[in-house]
Amino acid sequence: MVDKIANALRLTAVDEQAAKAGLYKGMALTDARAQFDKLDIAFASPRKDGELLEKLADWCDRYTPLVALDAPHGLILDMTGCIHLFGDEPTLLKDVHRQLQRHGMIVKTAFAGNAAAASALARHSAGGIVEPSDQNRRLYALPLVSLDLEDAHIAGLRRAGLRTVGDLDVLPRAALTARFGNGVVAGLDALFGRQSKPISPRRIVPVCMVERRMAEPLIAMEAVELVLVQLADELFIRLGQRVEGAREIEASFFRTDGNVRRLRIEAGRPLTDTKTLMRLMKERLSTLAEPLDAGFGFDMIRLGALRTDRTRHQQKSLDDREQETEEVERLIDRLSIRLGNSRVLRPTPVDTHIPERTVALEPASKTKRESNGEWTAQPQGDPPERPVRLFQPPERIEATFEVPDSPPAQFIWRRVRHNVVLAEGPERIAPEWWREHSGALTRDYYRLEDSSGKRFWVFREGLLERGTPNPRWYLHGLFA
Amino acid sequence: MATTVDLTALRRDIASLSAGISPAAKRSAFAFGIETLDRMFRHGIERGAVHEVFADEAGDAGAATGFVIALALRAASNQSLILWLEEDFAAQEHGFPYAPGLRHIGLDPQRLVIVRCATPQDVLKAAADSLGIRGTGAVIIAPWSNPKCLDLTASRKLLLSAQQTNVPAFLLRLGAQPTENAATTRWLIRSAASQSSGANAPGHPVFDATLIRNRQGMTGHWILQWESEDHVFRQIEPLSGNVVPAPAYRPPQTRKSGTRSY
Repeated sequence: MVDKIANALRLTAVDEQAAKAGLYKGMALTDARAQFDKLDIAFASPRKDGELLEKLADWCDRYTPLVALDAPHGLILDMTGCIHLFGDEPTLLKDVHRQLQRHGMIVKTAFAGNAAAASALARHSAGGIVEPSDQNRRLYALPLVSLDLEDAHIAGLRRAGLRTVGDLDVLPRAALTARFGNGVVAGLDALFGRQSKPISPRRIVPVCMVERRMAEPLIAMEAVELVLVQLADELFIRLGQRVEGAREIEASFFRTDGNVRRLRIEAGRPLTDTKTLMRLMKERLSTLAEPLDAGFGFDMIRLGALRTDRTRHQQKSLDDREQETEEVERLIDRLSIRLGNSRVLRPTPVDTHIPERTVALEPASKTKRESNGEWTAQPQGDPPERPVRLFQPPERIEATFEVPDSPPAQFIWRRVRHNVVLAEGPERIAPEWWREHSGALTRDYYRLEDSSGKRFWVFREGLLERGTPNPRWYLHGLFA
Repeated sequence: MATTVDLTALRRDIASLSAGISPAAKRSAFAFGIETLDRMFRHGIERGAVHEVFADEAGDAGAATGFVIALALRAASNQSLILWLEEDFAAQEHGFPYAPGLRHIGLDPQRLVIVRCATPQDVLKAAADSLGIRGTGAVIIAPWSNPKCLDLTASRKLLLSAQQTNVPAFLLRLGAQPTENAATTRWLIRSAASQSSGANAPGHPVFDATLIRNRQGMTGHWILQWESEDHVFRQIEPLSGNVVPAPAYRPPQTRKSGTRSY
C-alpha cells in the first residue's frame, strides 16, 4: 500500500512477505523500489477502508447490538450479556475468526474486561481470551505504542528507559502528567479500566428486538415474509407486556455474503399489531429503489423497535369518530412510507415576517395536529392579505408605474399584459439583517387586481430613495 | 266497531323514521346556500362524489384554488382533516399552497396535510388510498395538465371510492383542458372583479363560476363572493356597466389556444 505523505510516496502498509524482506511502514517508495524492482503496489484509499470497516461493523451486528468503530482498522464489540447466546467465549471467537477468514480477512481478536484493553491487546499482543486474573499481567507486558500517544512522547519515554506499559504504570502519576501531559495517565486509566471510557455504538440500541437465525439461508421472498410475520408477532407480544407500541421499527436482513440491508419504518402512532406493520413493510418494500435482494439467502433476520410509546388499552369500535381518526393516522403513515417523510407535510407557523419563511412544512407522521403553533391573526372581516398560492422563487415581471412609490399601473407576467384596476400597498417587509447576507433588499408588497378580476401579490425589490435606480418587480403569489 | 289507534306509538314511529332519514340525507349532501344555484341540484350537491374544478387561464389558478377550498370547507365537517395531494409540477407552475393565505380564506392550516407527489400516477394512487377511508373531511387532488393516467377508468374508480366512503373528492385541474370523465360536477373558474373594500383596495374573493357539467341536473353560470369568516357564498348580480364584460361561457374546444397564457 502506498500513499502520498508530505509530498512523497511512502509505504503505508506492507504484507507479511514484504515485512520479512525488510520493508516497513513509512518507508519511501523510491527506497523500496531500489531494493526490489518487482514491487506490487496499490494506492491506499482511507475512504474505501472506512467503508469496508462500516460494512464489517454492520455484519458484526449479528453478535451484539453494541458495535463501535475503532478506526482505522478495529471494531469493538460490547458482548456484555450476549455471550451465552453463542455458548462460551472460545466458541464465539472461533466463530468470528472462521466467518471473517472465509471473507478473506486477517483477523486478530482479544477478549478483555474493557474496550481499551481489548483493543490494545488485539493490536499489540497475541490476543485471545484474557482472563480477568491475568489481565493486568498481560497489559503490563504491552509495548508503549499501545497507549496511542504522540510519537514525540513515546520517543521521550523510550529515552527514559521505559519499554512497556508496566514500566510506566508504577511511576508516580503526578510526575508523568507534569512531563507528558494528561494523555499518558488517561491512557493508562482507560487501559486498566480505572476510568470507564464508554464506547460509542454506531446505531441506536433497540428498545426491544427479536431475531431469527436460519440454519438454511432463506432465498424465497415468501419464506422471508413468513419469518417477518413470526418475528413481528413475537415483538408485539413483548412490547404488549410493557404496554408499549413501536414508533420506529428497523428490520435488518443479514445476507450470507456479509451484506446487511436495513429497512426503517416510522409510524405516527404506536404500532401494536402485525397486520399494520406488515402492510407498512410491504409499502416500504415496494418503494425501494434497489429491491431487497436475497442473493444467496439471508441467514439472519432481525426486527428491532428503536422508539416506543405508551399505548392505551382501547375499547374497540364504540366510537366511530375515534376509529376514523385512527384510520387517518394510518393513512398518513402509509403515505409517508411510500412517498417519503418529506412529501407528506403539515404546515406549521414560523415567527418571521419574510413571506416565504412564515411556513415550515413538517413531516406529518412526526408532528401532532395539536402541536401546531400560533398563526398570526387576520383582522376581522377584511379581505385576505396573503395569497393562496405562492411562487417559489418569485417570478420576474415587467412593471410600469407612474410615480416612484406608487403601485404599478400595468405589468407583464408570462408575456401577458395586466392592467391594474385596484391596488393596495405598499406593505413594507424589511430583510432580517441578523440573518441575511448583505444582498437582501427591502420589499414593498402590493395587492393588485387587474381588469379581468385576477388578484396578484407583487413586490418591488429595493427602495428608490435608497439608491436602487431600477428596482426589479416580482410576482410572488396569486389570491383567490 | 272502533279501531283503536295508539297515537303516541304512531308518532314515535314517525319520529324514528324521520330521525333515521334526515342525518343520512344531511351526511350525503351539501349546499352552496344560494337559492338559484342550489336549485340546480335536486338533493343538494352530493358529498361522496368527484367534483372537478378547472382554472380558465394561468392567472386563474388562485381563483380555482380558492373555489376548491371554499367547496371543501362547505362539504367537510367542522375541523375534519383536509388532504391536499399535489403534483410537484403543478406547484412549480402555479405556485405552492400558502398556509397563511389559505387561513385568510377560512381554512385553518391545522386541518391541512399537504402531500407532494412527483408524478400524476403518485397523485392518483395517493388519492385512491385517501378516499378509501372515512376519517377525512375532503380530499383535494391536483395533478398538472391532462395526464394520460387520469382517464375515464381512473376517474370512475375515484368516484366509486368517494361514494363508498362518503368523502368528497375535488379534482383541482390547473393548466388542463376539460375532457370526458366520470366527475359528478365540473366547474370552470375565472377570477371576477371584487367589490373594493374601500380606498381602491381589492376586496373579498369573487369567482366567476360556470357549471359546465352536472350529472344531477342543469348547468349554469354565477358570480359568487366568498365570505371567509362565515364560510358562505354570496351571489353578486352582474350590474350593467360593470368593469367586467359579462363572462359568457364558450366551450373549451372553440377557444383559440393562443388565448392561453403560459
